[in-house]
Amino acid sequence: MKDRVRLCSRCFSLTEEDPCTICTDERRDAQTICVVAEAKDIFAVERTSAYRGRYHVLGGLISPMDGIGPAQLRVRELLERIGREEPREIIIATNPNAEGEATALYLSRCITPSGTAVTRLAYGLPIGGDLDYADEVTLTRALEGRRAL
Amino acid sequence: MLLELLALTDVRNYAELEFTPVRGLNLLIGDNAQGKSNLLEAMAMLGTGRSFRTTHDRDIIRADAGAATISGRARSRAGTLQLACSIARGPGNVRKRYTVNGGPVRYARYLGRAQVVTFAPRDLDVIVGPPSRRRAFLNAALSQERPAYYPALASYTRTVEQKRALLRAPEPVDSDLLAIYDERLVRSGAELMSGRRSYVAVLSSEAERAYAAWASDGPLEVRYAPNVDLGPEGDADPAEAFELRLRAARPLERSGRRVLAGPHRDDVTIRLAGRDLSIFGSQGQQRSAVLALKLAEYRVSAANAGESPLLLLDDVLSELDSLRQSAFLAGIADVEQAFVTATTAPPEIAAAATYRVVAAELNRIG
Repeated sequence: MKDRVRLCSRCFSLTEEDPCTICTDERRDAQTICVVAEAKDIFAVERTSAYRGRYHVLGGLISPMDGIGPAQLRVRELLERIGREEPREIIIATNPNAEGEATALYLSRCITPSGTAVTRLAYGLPIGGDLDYADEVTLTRALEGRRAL
Repeated sequence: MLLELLALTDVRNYAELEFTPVRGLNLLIGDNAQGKSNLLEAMAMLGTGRSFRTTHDRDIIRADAGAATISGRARSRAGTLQLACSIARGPGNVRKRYTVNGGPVRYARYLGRAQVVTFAPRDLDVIVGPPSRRRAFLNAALSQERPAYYPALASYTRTVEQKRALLRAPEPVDSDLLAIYDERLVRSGAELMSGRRSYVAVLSSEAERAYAAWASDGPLEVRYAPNVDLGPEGDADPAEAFELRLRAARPLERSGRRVLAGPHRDDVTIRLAGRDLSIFGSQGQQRSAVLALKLAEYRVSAANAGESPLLLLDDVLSELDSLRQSAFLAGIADVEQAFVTATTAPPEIAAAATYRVVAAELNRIG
């Protein structure tokens, strides 16, 4: 079992068949690529059943403290893939912490010249939560990311 | 703020303790190493999640125990509040958990629920210690006062570490990444600077007034000394000023591989009659100044929250002469609840309750 698990040569997710079943699924939208830090983040997004595009696994986040720069991640592979597949949109789904934010900004700078639209997951209020109980930082971010009804 | 109940499990030398303090001044008398300061430390942790004595959280767990739990019930303007903070030994570092009214919360959301002002002998370092001690004082106070402050501080500190590692890495510095770190530093750093600027402004007028009330060798001046020049009046826009400073410092930061610009190098200058108190002040003047600062911190917190914070005085009153003791006590006369430790009862104090602390046992004696 362990011997058969490897990385998908397109999206770098964990898979038993290469390319993986998400990359080869014709019903999925090849025009949208969701960029995640780790393969496990794919399962989180997949559980929503709300996303029908494809993925790209970076293999971590930019963190010079841990000796991880863009060269240690699959950034070059992402840019090559964008050149090859010419997607409409790249969705960056990194964590909203210092490393996730810096990585998202970095990717956005690299991708924007290609003309592909880059979006970031919205920050917002938890569903079922009360405005009263939201902390100021989350509420400020939710205000900044508000949208027209 | 009124602490109605404090419960400890395996905290320092306390195996198990339930303490129901009274309103007003609670005096804790006992010899050294019996557990007076440990009790105050636990109360401060209940409010701020952090110890004022150590940065090593594992020291707080009682020897041979796996976890320490501090919980309590407090009554504030917002209503009754159940707080708990626990520290468990882990394989690497300790694990800390916080709950508010029974529900788990992140640290940033725990902070500021119960306002606490602590005064301990080591606070003299705010006057005579390095700039980092003054920044720590501002950070501790502002994290309780301003909800946006602590998240900005955490993000800023982490980004400074990443930027420093980037500058020191063996490979050539990625200019795009450096620009991104600077952009993020400006965002969080501006919040730190504007918070510190407005806080020091109100703190200084309170401290100057307090000092003048008991000594005539002033005036005591407390001024924010930001690393980023905020203009002759100190009223420049922090984000714009920080951006300019970063641009100017960039060649030097790159060649020296150091993070030179930003509020992680801020200071506060404290002068008495125009002279630097840390260098020229006598010990008595330095002690009076820290007393004035602490009184100011208490008054600012009370004014901002609309109720007096929990006041914790660890072994400091007995060190003051009777003039300063009564001046300080007069300054906190409106306190809803305070905890004072001493080896012998200070004569000036009118305690609502007195407890004797012996080998982690508390007995009310007056």
